[in-house]
Amino acid sequence: MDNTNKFFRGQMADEDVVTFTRKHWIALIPELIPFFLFCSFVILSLILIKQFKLPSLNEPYFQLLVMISMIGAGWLIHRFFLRVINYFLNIIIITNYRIVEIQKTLFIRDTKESLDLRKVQGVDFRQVGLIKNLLKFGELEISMGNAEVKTLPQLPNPDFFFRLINRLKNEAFNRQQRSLNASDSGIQQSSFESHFTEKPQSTSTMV
Amino acid sequence: MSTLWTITAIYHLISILVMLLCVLRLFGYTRRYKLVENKHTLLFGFISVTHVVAIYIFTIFLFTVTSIILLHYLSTQ
Repeated sequence: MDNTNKFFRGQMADEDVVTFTRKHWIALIPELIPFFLFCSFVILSLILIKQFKLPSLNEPYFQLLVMISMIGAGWLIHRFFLRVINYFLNIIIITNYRIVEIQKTLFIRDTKESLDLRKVQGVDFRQVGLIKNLLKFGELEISMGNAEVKTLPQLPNPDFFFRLINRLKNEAFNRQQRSLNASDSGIQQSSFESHFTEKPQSTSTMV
Repeated sequence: MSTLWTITAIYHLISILVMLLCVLRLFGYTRRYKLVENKHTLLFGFISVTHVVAIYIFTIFLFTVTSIILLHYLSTQ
């Protein structure tokens, strides 16, 4: 079956997507709280606007204040929604061959990092702290062969991914061993065949 | 006074264009990445990027309408 570019750009022909994930929703809290405070302030101001004694809009300072408030409010709204959309674009895809981390924003960033499961030396999962244990999120540290450690922070349900990556790592290792054994036996077979097919020729040349 | 209205109109036009550009870029992204969402991948288990885009469009139009009404109210005071 050809899976080329089926679920994501760069997917290989025989590569199956096992699962994918995003960061835990806690990563959005620094965006959500200020935005809800801002929305509450705007709604409260609109409700209570008749109770304030506002100057005339012909006053240049008041005009400037209105303009700054409007531009600031618009900038905050766009910034909040862009960050929430960017949260959806940053994904970690786990396939039967590799772990692909896609860090993307709508306009500025587009990076992809791929970790070969056969080169994974070990996986550590850390879920330390009351909030992390209550909300079930943590870090996954994947150590590669060249002493490089890849950390996947704020991962939801890291225990599941810890078990999954270990299982896929073992499967990838077994697959590699099988292919090596098959190629070894193939080499032995071909050398055996060549030994018997080429020997008479060599003897004839010797004679 | 007319300057204020002109600046407001230009600002909201730019704001709507930015929003449309974001939506177009996002549709381009969803064409390239066709990953199947489930309750573990959605925000809070039920909010998808489509919901966020719908709320974004609604909020920008609400912001435009509210600021125009507010300016009109302040100018007639």
